[in-house]
Amino acid sequence: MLAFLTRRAAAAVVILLTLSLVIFVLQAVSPGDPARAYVGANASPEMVAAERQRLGLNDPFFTRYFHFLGGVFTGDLGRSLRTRQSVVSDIATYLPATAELVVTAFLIALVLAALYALSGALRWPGAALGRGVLLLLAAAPPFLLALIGIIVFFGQLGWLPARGVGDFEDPGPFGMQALDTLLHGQPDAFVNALAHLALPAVVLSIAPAVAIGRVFRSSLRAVLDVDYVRTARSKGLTEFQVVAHHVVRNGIGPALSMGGLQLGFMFAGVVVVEQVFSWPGIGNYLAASIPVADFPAIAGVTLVLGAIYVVSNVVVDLLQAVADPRVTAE
Amino acid sequence: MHTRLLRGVAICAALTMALSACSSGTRSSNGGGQGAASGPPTDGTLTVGLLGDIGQPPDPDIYYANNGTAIMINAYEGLVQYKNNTDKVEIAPRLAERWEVNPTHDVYTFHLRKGVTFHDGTPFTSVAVDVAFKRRIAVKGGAAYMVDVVKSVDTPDDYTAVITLKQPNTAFLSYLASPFGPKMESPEGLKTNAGSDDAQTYLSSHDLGTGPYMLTTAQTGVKYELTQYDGYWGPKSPFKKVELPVYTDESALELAFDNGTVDTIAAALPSSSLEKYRRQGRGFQLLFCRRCRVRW
Repeated sequence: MLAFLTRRAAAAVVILLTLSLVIFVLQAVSPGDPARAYVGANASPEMVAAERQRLGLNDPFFTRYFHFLGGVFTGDLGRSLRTRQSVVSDIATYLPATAELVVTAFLIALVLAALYALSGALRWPGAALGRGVLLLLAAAPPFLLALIGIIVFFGQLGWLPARGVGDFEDPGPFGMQALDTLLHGQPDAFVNALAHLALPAVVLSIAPAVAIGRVFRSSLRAVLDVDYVRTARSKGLTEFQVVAHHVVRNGIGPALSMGGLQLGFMFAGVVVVEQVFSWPGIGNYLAASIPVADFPAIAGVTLVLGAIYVVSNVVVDLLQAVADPRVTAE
Repeated sequence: MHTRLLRGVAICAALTMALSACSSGTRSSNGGGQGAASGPPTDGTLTVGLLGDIGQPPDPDIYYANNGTAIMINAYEGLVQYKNNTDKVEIAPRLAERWEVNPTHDVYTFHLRKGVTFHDGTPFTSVAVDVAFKRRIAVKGGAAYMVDVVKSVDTPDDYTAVITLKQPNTAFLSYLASPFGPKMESPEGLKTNAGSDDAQTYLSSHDLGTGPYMLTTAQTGVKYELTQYDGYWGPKSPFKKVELPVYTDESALELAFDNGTVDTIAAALPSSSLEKYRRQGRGFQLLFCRRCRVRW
């Protein structure tokens, strides 16, 4: 176990270093100029050039890269040129909202995937229509789903809001509106937060739900025909017991891997969804940093997302070993 | 420089859509349904939808972008302003009631308005002019060049400021009138909250101005809120509160405007949207800035 974790940690470091170098190289060759965002859109070209010099943006490539790396190893990701705050504090401000959104979306995706897979494998009557609708929705790109969701549920029906995390102040320590208002026992604010969370989370969850669901369904189908399942039935176990104790646990392996993969994709998809819903998370922060070429922010967010992706893959591998002891986590 | 400032004026008139008086007059709180937007809000709160964050801290010595100009010119005031409600470019009084310029345009004497207070309660006197100019030079923002020409500020009494320039400059009054021009900030407030960066951290989420509204909330990328300042010297608007939520998506902003969640949009909407509103003929006021393209 220790060897496994050490190997994975070393791999993570290599991955993140490569990521940072790639981002740095892309930034060096791209035409964007963060100094302009720093002094303001109306500043003269001379002012912009002077600010570029002052911010050290004209320094040679490797000077800037090693300065950046040195900062990373001491936990200092630099200062965002757009918000003028430290990137670490910006990420700490905006990451909780994204975490809340992604976790909620992932849970919804798991539920939908389970329904999709079980209804398909066990042939529940009438569920094919539901699966077809899900499939159709998953075929649409997330931003299109998001816009349709806003037009229907906000524009036409007025049932759900289209912007932000909530209309109340966030009271709590975590920076997650729904969780904090729940912990503080504020029912109005909590319901309001859930209403704001509903549309973005559902939109984000649909494509992963179908992807996980399809994989899970086919592995369930394969397990349902296996000998030990027949034995379990002939022992007299109810169908529910057979499915719950034998079928699911043996069929979950591929779905777990797909789940880990989809979680990683979700963090990529969250950028677009957050933009459409004006959700104040790390995706929106990144989307605002890219047009102004705010390199410290872009690099910081990329590293954080890369780290999340690596960690979630390690967790998936560990869970595989838990679900199926024959698989050693390596 | 001069044309750029004129553009600045034009830009601050931004591209605004305001509802003119329409049907019911009470604001629909939940919205819903097409065309549910009714007349101007009567609950004392104006909601202005921003398309994208304002881009820089709402600090008058830093801010030199476009989206947040409305926040700046309502929380802060300069000595003079451009005259309202006219297409001609004329300098009008603001915190200075009248002024004299010597024939060589290098000494400007301002007679300041009495009875003005900053939002922290301290009175506005001539010493604030010197403090504001010095801070602008120290912060070195995009618009610091406007006060680079100043050699000295003398304050013979509390309500007179004599500004001597390093060399003659006929554009100086335009600098002072610009929405990005030097604004008066409370010297007491600046001293108390100076920190290590001339109060830049403080002014990124508070304000020390004299304007009709106080900046009560400034969450980057989320929303800004202005609350009416009761001690304001000038006319009172019917809006006690102005909320500026940040929308990062154009379509969501338009939908919010359509169902009444947002009363006003200050943004450059695509021409297809403008056509849509023109065709709907709901009595909108579309305000354009003619010479809006900033060259860079």
